[in-house]
Amino acid sequence: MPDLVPFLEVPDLLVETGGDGLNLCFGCGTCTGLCPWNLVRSFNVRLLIRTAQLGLEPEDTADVWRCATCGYCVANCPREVPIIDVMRSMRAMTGESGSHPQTIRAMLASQGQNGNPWAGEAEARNGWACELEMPESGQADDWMFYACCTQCYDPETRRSAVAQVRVLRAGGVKMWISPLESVCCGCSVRETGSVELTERMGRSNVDRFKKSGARRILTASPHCYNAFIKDYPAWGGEYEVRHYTQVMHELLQSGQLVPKREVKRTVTYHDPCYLGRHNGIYDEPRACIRAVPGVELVEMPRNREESLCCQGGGGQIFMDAPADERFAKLRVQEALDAGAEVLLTACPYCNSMFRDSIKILDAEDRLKVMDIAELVWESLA
Amino acid sequence: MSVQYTREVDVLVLGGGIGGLQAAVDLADRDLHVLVVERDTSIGGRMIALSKVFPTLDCASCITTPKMAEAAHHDMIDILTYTELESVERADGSFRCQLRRKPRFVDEKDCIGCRLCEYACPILLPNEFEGGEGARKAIYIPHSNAYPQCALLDIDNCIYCGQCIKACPTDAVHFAQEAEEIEVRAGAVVLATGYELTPMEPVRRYGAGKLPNVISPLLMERLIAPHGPYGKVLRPSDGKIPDSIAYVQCAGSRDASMGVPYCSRVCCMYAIKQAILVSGALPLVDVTIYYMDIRAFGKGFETFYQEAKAMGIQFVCGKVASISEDAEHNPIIRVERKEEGGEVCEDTHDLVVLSQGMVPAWKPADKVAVSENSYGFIEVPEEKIAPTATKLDGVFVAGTAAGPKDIVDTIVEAGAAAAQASAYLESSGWLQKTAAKRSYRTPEAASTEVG
Repeated sequence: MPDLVPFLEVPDLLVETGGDGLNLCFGCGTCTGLCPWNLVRSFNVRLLIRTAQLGLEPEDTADVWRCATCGYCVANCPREVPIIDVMRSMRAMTGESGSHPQTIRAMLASQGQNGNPWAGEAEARNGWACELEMPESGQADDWMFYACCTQCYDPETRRSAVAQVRVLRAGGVKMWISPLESVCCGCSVRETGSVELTERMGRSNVDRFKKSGARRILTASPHCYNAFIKDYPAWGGEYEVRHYTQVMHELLQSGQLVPKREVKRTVTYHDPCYLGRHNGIYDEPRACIRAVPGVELVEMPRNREESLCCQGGGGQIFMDAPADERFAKLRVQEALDAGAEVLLTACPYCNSMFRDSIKILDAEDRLKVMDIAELVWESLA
Repeated sequence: MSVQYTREVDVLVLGGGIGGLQAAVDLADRDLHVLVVERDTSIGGRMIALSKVFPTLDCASCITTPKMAEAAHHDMIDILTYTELESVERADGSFRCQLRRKPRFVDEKDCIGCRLCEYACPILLPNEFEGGEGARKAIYIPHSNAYPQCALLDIDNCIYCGQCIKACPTDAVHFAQEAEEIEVRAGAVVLATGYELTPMEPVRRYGAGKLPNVISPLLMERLIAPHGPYGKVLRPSDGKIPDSIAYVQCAGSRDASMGVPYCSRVCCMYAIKQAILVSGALPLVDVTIYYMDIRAFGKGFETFYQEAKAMGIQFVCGKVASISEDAEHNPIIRVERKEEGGEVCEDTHDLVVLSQGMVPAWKPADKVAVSENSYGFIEVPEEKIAPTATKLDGVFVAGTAAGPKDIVDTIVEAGAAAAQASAYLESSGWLQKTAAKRSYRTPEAASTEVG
């Protein structure tokens, strides 16, 4: 039986720490019905918000850590409650008493020590690009390419970063690699409620980027894109930020990139939450895919605004959900049902999550995960 | 554009629904000359298509048709259907209104409503009056209760075979008819432009209007109306008689994500009414109403709700999250059942009715210099002091044009608008100015005088 004595300061504190939409909620339950967690196990978003409004402790504190910040509930909330902000505030409050889940604590420790969530050595950050010989600085109008930590330290996902650089270079984009001393964009730190660490890492990046002369940043991950656009200006980091699919789309449109080789494959595209729902980029990635001759693009029923989260965001990628509680498994099945041979995405988290689930489903011979850049490179190389 | 001529009337009423007609009749009964301008092919508005009204279960057309007839046969009321208002401008203490009468391709004066053209026409099309169910011809009388009982030709779907021309005993069909521009001078204007249902096409999680067995409440009204398209309740995809019907409340009301943050006030009651009526039509049907809370605020409403519960209609608390369908087009409702442990359930039904809310059917935009409120309805700046007065002196608003409301409230408001408009005609000096004409003029003469 949970504690039924309300802590009346709790709702106030949540409101102060950014969850100021908390009291808008009228408890309709749309969020619970839509939340992808309820496709795999019970997770009552409405109840969690209600208990917060009342200053009660949640029935199951593990629920505080479930939200993958996919934004599906937020986009459809009748009261426009910023549910993710509320979740983040609840995490901040829970985290203050040190009750992070073990995996999140480990991730945060690595962020603090190594500047990345994967316990990778800071010096190895730019190792992924060794074969590309990227310069470490450039002209003011050149782009700084910022790879996701997952690409830097996960050997399977790093291929996507290499392909992104190759494709963009083939289109004549001049860019340099983000400095070795850069740290993680801070997305997963922020989403798990560590406000101070997020700011410390953000400010450190702003410093490094300044020294490196960056004014225009090209990101590989929608999460970094989101952080640079939405968080960094508050710390003095004002940049022109683009996700690589946007620039790639421009190159294809202007004819600077012409994919020639036919790639005879049926593919489907998974909209990453932070590219689609969070930032409204749906068409550019699809246009890039359609530019490749021979490719047939089929849509999964849940596409664009309705996309099913891969469960990589909000720190979930570090939580290692049990195999039968993975959204990515459902998504991989949807891709198979749509008749796709390749599941394309444009986010390192999705990339990694889908790879795992394809293994769980024993579908490696039927479905392959690729980044859009890898597909385009296949047609260029 | 052909003939231009000028009319002079005391009040122009925009909208020939129940609100507009009530205002027109109330004004005309005070010996004021009224012109009703309706953009649809018939007067009667939404109400003429309804089955019964809540909470009394009175027959809707038995209330509407007498009102239509009263307006149609009133000496002091002229009616222009299929006519759009293009602009209203204030000039010399009165209003200069530009109207555009769309071509019916049938001469209203000659047509006797015999329907011989309709019988002769070989083209079958979905019947809009029946919510797209049933069929109509390319030349047709809008519906059996329509006024005027005059045919119109749907030129976009006409194959110009000429059968209607041959069949018409009065030579009323004219393929070359053109739109008319009409200029009217009016002493005051009443806007009674009504509502539309919240559009569902942008709402993908409710099927974006593409699931055949997820229907609008107005289609359901037709299905349960005694003179509806099939005379019984059949679902659209396969004509099956549904065993299980669900109502999704607040589909486009109290939902900022659908752009409608306000309550539409009537959906709880019309859903309960339809549930009761359909239970009468199909005694074995299971009806479930998914709701957030039931707003039964009017006289007799709560009793009506309790009666529905006693009849066995199921009420499930929880806002429907999404609607999908199975291979047989049976809609599947996904919802958190809030009062049953917060469990997320998927319930399959044969037919789902979306209790869509109300949005304005007409926008003043650059046509009339009245303002809109934050919800897009016509603004009434001082609701408590002057409940039908708009920002523009002499222009009044009644019914759902000003915000969601039920039929009873619309009729009350129409009466209020009529009272305020006639008081305005006196205070503005219009009645005094036109007194000379008034003493000798008959409405027929007035409608043809020029200048």
